[in-house]
Amino acid sequence: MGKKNKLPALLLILLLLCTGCRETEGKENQPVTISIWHVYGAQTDSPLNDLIEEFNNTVGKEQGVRVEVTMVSNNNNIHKDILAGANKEPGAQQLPDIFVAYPKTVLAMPDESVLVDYRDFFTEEELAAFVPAFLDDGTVNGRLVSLPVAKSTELMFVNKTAFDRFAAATGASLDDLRTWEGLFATACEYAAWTDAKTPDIEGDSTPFFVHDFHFNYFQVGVESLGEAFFDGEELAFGPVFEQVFEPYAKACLSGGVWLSGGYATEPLRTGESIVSVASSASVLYFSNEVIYADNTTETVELIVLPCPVFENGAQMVMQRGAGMCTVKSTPEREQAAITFLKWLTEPRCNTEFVTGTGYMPVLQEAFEGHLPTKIRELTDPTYVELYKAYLETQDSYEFYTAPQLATYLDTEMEFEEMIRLQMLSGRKEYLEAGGNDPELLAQLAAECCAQFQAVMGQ
Amino acid sequence: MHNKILELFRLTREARKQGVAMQQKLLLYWISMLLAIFGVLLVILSVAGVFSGSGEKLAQALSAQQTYMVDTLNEQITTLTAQGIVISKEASDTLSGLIYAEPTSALNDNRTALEQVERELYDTLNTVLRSSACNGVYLVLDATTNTAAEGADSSRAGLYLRFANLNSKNAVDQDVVLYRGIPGVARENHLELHNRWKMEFDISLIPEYRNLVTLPVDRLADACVWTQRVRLTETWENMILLMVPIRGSGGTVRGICGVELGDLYLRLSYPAQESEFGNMVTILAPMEDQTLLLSEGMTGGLEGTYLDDADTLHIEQGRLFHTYTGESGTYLGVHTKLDMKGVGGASMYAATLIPEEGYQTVAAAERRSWFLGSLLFLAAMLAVSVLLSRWFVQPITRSLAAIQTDRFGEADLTGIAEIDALVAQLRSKAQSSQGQTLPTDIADLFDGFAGRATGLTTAERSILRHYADGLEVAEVAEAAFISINTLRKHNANIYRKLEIGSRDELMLYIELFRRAGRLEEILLEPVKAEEA
Repeated sequence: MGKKNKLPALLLILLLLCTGCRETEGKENQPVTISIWHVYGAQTDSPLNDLIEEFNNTVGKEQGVRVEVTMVSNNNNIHKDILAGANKEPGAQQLPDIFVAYPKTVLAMPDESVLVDYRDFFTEEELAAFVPAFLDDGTVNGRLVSLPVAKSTELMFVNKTAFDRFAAATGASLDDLRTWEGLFATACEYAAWTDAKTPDIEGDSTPFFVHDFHFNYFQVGVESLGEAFFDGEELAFGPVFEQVFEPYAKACLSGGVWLSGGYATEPLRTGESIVSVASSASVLYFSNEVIYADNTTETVELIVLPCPVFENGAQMVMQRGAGMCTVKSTPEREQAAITFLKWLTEPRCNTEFVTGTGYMPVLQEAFEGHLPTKIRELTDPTYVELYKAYLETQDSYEFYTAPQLATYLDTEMEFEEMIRLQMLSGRKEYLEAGGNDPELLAQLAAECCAQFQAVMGQ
Repeated sequence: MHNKILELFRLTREARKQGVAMQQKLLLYWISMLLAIFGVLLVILSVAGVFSGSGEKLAQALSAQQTYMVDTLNEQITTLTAQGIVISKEASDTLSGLIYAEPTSALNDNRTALEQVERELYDTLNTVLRSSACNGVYLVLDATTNTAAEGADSSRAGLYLRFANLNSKNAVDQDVVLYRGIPGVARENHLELHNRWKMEFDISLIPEYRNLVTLPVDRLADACVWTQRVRLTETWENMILLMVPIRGSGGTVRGICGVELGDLYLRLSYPAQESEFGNMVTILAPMEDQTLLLSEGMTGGLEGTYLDDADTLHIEQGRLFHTYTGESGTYLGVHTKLDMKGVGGASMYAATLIPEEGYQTVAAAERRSWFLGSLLFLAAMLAVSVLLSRWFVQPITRSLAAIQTDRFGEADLTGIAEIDALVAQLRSKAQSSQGQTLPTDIADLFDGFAGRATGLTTAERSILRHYADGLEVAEVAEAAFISINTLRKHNANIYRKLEIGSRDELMLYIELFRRAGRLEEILLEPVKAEEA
């Protein structure tokens, strides 16, 4: 290009640059708004939402980042929305910048490479602050795609007020609930006791026990008795499975176990059940107020105990707790998401967040430094109970983490649906046969086990 | 100071007397002309409103968004009101079918009947929820399950269905939860209970409930009202409720029903719209004394802004748009009253707002662009002035220089007829005066030399021409495509024929002939006799 031609060309470029700037000038000062789907609090007054507001008003404001909660779901439902968004199903919402998911959901996604690898954003030093095992949980195909922010375990919640009434009448003891055998035997007793209250109506027993995830009971139960629950991606169904199935089935057939869907908190709130095993995070959804069918309410004492174990098995319990996944987008949005997550996983915030939601922190420093102080400051008796049981579990239990299998989510959902259907069908058969027959109960339990294995094996 | 100014004037006068170069004058002329054009252009642009473009453009963007949003909202409100009336009529029909349910209080303490009503009306509520632009539907019957229960005075039976996970697209397979109602209805329809489920409504939390159920209703459409923002008890969600009375016989009211618009639902349904000035957000709020009460209203998506949905925005009226100032910042926008009847006759307004900062940034950038653009344009115009004046003046100055040095033969044509004619005339005069004034012996010298030059061969003349062009010996050999020896041979012949002794003498003759304007006589081929 001749010297003479250069000047007009440069002027033209300058003018074009000026015009190009116009497109973004108005947005220069506006914050980068990122969306988040989470499960912490579901439809209740979410503690994470409060923390997000704090972030928006402090660090977020300073750094031009605003986090908008666009969905607060629960663990049972969020995977459906994530997978619908990831699969771009018609009518599905677009994936947000950050969402909460278990590795099982990430594994079920059509392409997990749409998620950022946190190792690209966190330094080795920053990652070293996390409990190493928690980072392993969030690593899928060698990429850290799920950042641990809180971990939970399964604990037992007991409506002690109702249990005491039952214990006073039957001599049942809370100690019986330390083992699965004892818990299911008590469930059978409770069903018989409640059924007997209305002699004119047969089979109207009230369930004693409700479990959030029957699949977890079997998985951890089988593993705690020394047998592998999975055989590759299939269920192993070894001899121990039947051993785990038997007390459970007898309680189900007797009417002592809640077999409808939904979360464990539901029947406890309606007085339709009095003991549950659920995630420690359920504490947010429990209420110490039970509303009965006649619309009377009773304020009850809710206590929290470690999860039951098998008499001859290892002290093992499921470790739960999803992580935060960040969807790849623009460098600005990704950086904004990381800014928020780094803030959320600072020891102070992390402790604040987890103790408000019934979780355990994910940072060594939070565990050792902030958590004991925070626990001492707790005033809500249920939360005090919760962390007492939590610390007991941590001291004496081995944590079991579910394997990372691509088929895990499907297997879990199918198992949950089929086991409930199987036991409802068995319960109906037992009632039709007159019930109250130990031999028939044992026979039906064995039949249910065989039928269930056959159905799941198909 | 005065003396200094006088001195300056004196110097200016002196400078004027000294005369100004032609190019400078022409340059001044061009600059003046282009500045005048530039000035006229600026006036035209400013009359055309180009300089106030940001304001006009913002007003247009706000107006377009506001029109669209208000139309959509009004349509949504109308449709939801119609759906609320459908629920009301269905509920009236269902209750009329229960002969023991008149008055509604007859249903008190009758759990079976209340559950039957809830079961029968579930499908209607579920259909309205899934087919309407809302995120919850409800029905409150003016009766309670247990009049002996604590708080029974403000407890009322009913059904409240809400979407569990919000989605602005309202897909039919969205999960629904039971917020209020008998759990049996949820179990029968495979619904989960809301995390803060209760069996009955607390009517003390429903604005104007008691008034609505005590005033007789003639026409349902006239009795439909929207609440201001209320908190969904024990949750993180805010909402506004459409309340439609459920009419009994003789215009009595048996309860209320309607739909819910939650804040998250509205945020998903009315996301912030991008514009070159920043994101435009939607506000739905009551107004009082020129103040928008966001804490009593709802907002659409607030992405890209720091707007606090509990802020109070004071309105300052403007020509193109208004200014809204609150604790969370200053916003520019427009607002319109909606066809939405509020509780107690309150009116709801829809507003489209944009952060003022975004607009100011764009306006400042536009001013910068104009300034820079004008500066560049002016610089370009000045460069054009210089080039044009130089292009115009250069041939003239060259001609004048040639005239000054009496080198008329080399004066180029200027392209200006008058100046070219003047140069030609001067040249002719000079030539004639040269002929007249040369001394006789010099004229003989010239003629003799010219005569001898006719004896040169074509090759020798060509070499002579190269010398006249100022080439050196080596350059001549190269230009003539001959060796230096051949050139020397030609040189010897030239010197001999012209009767000169050296190249310096030759160059002297060439210079003399050039100055006399007779160079062609020795460089051009002589005309042969036959040709002549």
